[in-house]
Amino acid sequence: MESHSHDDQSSPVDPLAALRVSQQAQGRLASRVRSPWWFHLLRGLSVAAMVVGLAGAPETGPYLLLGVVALAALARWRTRTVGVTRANTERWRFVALGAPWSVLALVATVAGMASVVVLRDEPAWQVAVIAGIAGALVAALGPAADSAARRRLAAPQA
Amino acid sequence: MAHVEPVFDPVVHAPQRLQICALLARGGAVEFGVLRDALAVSDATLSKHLKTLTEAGHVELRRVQRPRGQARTWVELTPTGVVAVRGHFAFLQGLAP
Repeated sequence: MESHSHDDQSSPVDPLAALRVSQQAQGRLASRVRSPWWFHLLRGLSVAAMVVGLAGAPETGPYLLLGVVALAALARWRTRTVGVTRANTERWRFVALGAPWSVLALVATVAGMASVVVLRDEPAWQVAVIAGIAGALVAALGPAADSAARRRLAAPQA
Repeated sequence: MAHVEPVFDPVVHAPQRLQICALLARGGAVEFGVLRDALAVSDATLSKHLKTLTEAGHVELRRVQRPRGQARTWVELTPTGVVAVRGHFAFLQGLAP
């Protein structure tokens, strides 16, 4: 049920009640930071595509573009759906909110990309394994990062 | 973290505006519909509170036209608003037993 405007500034200060209602609203906001399983799966696949695309083979080049475009589109979709920018567009802020899982996912992404760049001309199966591990880690850590972000968003104001 | 001066802010203190400010302090820019749902208020009520906060210089509204369909309004605390909200929460916490 919708509540009506309470605009009475002359009401006495009840700090506990004020902090409690603020926290309840924060909890409702935090509960929105949740994505469907396919979002995390697609994000993992996008990271894997980027890793494969960086491997150096001419035929895999388009995968890099595909991965970048897919990641950008997913981030945009989630911003629209969740309605909270800190959960999405302010990327580094979201990494902090989702720590340590988001940090691990970021490390896995960077490590995967760096590996295939450093180890140029590796056999395709090795590139596939590296891309698979990076993508799987990103997909698996996504829900845990969301959960950490929800906890931090719902925490009392410092 | 920098020391926050506890200051009572009558604009922030109204219960629903306090909730709006708490959400914006945590969520960064928040979409109008998300704020409305989180507060369980009507569009008109939220608009009224946002108008008060905007006039006080605490929040700013950004209207983003979508390629198809309705425009969305994103609400965000201004730097002045961030200071006011932190100060008000410090004030409340100072009163809490």
